[in-house]
Amino acid sequence: MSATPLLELKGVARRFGATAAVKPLNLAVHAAEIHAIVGENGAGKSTLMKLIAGVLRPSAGVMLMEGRECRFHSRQDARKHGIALLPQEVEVPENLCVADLLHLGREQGSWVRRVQERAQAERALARVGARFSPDDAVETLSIAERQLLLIARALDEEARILVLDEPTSALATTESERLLSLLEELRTRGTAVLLISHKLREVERLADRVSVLRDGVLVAQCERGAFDSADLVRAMVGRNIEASAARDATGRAVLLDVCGLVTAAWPAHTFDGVVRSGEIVGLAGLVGAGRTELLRAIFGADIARAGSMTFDGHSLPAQSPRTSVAAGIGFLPEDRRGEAAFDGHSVAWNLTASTVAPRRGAFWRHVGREAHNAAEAFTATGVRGAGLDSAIESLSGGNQQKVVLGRWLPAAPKLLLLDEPTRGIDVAARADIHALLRRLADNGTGILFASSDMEELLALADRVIVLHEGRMAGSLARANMNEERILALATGHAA
Amino acid sequence: MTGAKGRILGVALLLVAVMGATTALNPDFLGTGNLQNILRWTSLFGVLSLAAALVIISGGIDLSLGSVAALSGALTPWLLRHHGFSPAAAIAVLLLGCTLLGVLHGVLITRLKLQPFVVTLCGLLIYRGLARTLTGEQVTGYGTEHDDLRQIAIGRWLGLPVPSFVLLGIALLVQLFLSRAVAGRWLYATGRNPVAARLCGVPVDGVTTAAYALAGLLAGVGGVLFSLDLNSVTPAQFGQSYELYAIAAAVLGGCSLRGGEGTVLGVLLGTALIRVLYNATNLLGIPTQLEYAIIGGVILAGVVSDELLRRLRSRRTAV
Amino acid sequence: MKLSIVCTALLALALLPACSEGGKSDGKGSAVKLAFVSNGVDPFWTIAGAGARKGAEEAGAEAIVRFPNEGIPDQQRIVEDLVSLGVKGVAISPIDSVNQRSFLDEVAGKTHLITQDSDAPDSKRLCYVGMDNYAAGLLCGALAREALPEGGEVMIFIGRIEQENARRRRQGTIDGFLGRKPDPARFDEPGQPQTEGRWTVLDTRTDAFDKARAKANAEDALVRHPDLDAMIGLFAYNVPACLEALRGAKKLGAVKMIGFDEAEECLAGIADGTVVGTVVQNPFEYGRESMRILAGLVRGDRSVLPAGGVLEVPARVIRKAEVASFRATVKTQLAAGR
Repeated sequence: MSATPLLELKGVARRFGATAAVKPLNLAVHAAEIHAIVGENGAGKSTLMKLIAGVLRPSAGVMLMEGRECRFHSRQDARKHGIALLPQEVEVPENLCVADLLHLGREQGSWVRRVQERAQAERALARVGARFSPDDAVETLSIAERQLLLIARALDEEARILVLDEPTSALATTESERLLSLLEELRTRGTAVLLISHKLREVERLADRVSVLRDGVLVAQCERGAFDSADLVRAMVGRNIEASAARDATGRAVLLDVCGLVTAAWPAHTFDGVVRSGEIVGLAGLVGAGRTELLRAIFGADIARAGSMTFDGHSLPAQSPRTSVAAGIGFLPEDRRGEAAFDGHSVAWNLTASTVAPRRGAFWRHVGREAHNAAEAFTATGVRGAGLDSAIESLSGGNQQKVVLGRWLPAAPKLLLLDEPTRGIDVAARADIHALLRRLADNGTGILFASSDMEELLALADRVIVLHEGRMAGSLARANMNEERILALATGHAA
Repeated sequence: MTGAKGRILGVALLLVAVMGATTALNPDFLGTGNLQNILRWTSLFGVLSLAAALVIISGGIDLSLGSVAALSGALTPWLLRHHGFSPAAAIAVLLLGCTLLGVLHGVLITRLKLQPFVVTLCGLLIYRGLARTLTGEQVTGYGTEHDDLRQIAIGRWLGLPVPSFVLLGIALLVQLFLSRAVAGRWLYATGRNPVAARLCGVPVDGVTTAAYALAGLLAGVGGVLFSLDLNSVTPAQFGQSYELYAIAAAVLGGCSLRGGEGTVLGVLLGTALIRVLYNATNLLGIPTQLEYAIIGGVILAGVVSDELLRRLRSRRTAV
Repeated sequence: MKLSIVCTALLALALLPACSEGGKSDGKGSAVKLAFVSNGVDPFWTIAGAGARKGAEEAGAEAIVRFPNEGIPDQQRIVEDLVSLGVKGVAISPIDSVNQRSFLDEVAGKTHLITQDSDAPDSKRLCYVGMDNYAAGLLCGALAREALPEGGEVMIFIGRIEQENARRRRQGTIDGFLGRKPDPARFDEPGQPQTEGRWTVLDTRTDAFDKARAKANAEDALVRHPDLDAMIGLFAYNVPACLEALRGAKKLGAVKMIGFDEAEECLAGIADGTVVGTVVQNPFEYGRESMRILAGLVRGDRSVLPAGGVLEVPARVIRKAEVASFRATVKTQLAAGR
């Protein structure tokens, strides 16, 4: 390890008005090193990343690149110095094709050189193991694939410091695995990697150095081998988080019975399965295995090609979210900002968005009951750092997720369909949400959730259904559920 | 919705400022007759502004309002005088027709997934042509008949113009709908995030269609009121660009073209501000050719100052 | 997608003839086509159109009457289309005689062009049929002066003052009311009060053809000038708009109303005494004479052109005594042009 760090922060701080998002801290990033930054949401990780990547300017302190002081006035500025940021929220111009996006903003000269760019794009995509082609339209890619694309672009730019904000949060196990190997490979080639992650196993495996942030303060820093996950969690939240107790829902009444369901994404495969009341069923699989499509088809958000469903003893005839909600089914989509949150409206408003009509066909709202429902859901979900009147967009991601999940509580749903319920959420909020889901299940609610997070699947699910390329590859009860089996089924290697 | 309160306060302050300045330069502004006139015009245009606001809150836009108003405005006297309809029957038929036009817009937008701008732009052209054709390009009017009916637009009650009571009634109903009805909240949800609204079980298509239908109905009411007030309607010109005044008033009053935002009070204040500006240019003897520039300038100033205030506030509260 | 556009286009092509006037042509298809183009849509033009049809019929030609509704671009588009259609002559009321000059010259190069109602004296038009708007304005101004023998303050209301006929009509009215020596080249800026002795013209307000604006302008004038003695409405719809404003302010009859043209409400007002009188043109004759001249030109007969290039169709004043007979005339004219 060289004596002069590639990047060094001395007393760097950032304030927003009266709030100190990052208090003065020192940090060194060395070449050929993976440096992980962990902390709860709101601890200041994203702000720190933005300072390093030139998106924000520090209110105090200096930054040194190889010993020389430098100031970044923009993201492009930082990029010229070899720092590339991969943001958590993937927002790209969807109308372009993959090759265009890879070169957008860094074209050579005034003319687009299609052939050259395409070849370069193919190489870049191959490096991240992407399965899509440079000619694909970005809008046809899933969130995970778009993230891969941005990673490919950053790698293609030969960045010396790669700043990754939760890069694997939307990736399934094998994709994560590929990316992590890539990061390791980059390390051997001398690149410095700054990694924000909630997945502590990743951190444990990869990081040469870990910095823990809490409330904008650097509370701990340790080197490889000198820490384990439990230490990190304690440092992050300042308390221990209890592991879940085992639950048993076998033998209870079947709540949802899906027969021969065919989704538009995988027309060649049918899905059969049941969810019992009080049972928490996990849907595992790689990205693109059809988990989201399956949940959406059950809820009626997308039209199923074929199949029938029995819910709570009745068949579910017409397929639409409206009828599903009326029947007692709730749905949490994967894309919180795009498909769940109503920006500009209050927490209370968002908490009651699914229960506007006091009963079916009612014309008038029941404002008193709404306020009561909102207050109850607010308490039950344990939203922190905000009131019922706060605008939802002012909340941290974890708290927003609690709100959009909490909007189903007043409806007392019999079945909840959740797509990635804790993606990109800090440890404490995730524990809160898991506890809430278990409480709901204990009271008889059936839960079917899709997750790419192996820890979450193992911790929460009573049973796991594994999908592989649209086909049901297997179902594992809690007793014989483990990471290897799930992975084997998900990748299509097991019988 | 704390932003909405700020916006209402802003428009109210702007209104008071313009009224104060006009009074200072010409005290006649505060004369009873003049205030009655402003109130009457605000009431007539206010009905159209509310129509525009409902659609804007639903996340759409309705460019056909002026032409729908022209259709109902031109056909009211036409039905009454040339086809022997009774006033009640004529108005019922026309309002039903205008509502159905709104339903048609809604169905084209939600079922065929056409863009609201395109659908209602076609409406703007079609209904104008329809009004001109049906009336044979003739000016239609009530002459000296139906004076009792015309009191709805030109009469006074308790010293106030009757249309202001009509608007008050409509505004209260719309306010009640937006703040207390299930569908009212659905409208805000649909306007802000239609995908999320659908996943919450909101009948998004129905809500959108209802917004256009209500807008059509209100535009029809506005057209009837205007024709009763003016007494004669030229189908080719009547109501031209009124949809733009309505949209301007709605936006000035706090409706965001992104949808899901807007209040009745704000829209009414926005309408009043535009009418007061017209009145002020006349009372202060400002050349009429400057009118548009002044009104456009004030609307722009209102929107810009609102945006700047919003940024200032969010910078203060940013974490 | 492309297929559907082609289908739509074909359908539209199939439907268009059904909507056009050709659909109801009754064997006149071979007759010479002459165009009569207005500057807007108004009952005035309906009568003029009737005159044009009558005139064309008398001359064995076919009149194509068009009322552009959306200003200069619309008018020019319509004329261009008519020329493409093969009309042998065009009688037009230019909206902006000065700035449309090159356009008018271009049309004059392709077909016989005459102006009516509003002249464009500098263009290559062959002649002008109509009245002198300045002279008609003088009549209107004199009518107002006659209503206010002791002097007084008046306001003028008009659609817009960019167009030649409106500008001249307004100037004539001002000069006639103030008793000035006639000078058509004079131009008083609106917004400046003009006073001669005891007579004052306070201001001119324009409304861009929006009736609601016209009414609001009149109402605001009554507020701004509580002692206003008379209102002069120079476009046909200005009179009803002013009357409505006066009725609302309960000043009907107290403030004298002087009109122009023959809106139904204006005539009714003259009959019941709320309007002093009006100056009417003779739109029927504009249409009829235009067609007569154009038909003659098509035959190669240049003797139909009036001396000096102007065929004066004089305006006249209608007071209470003449209302009934005037109404009857208009009715027969309209019937004649059907």
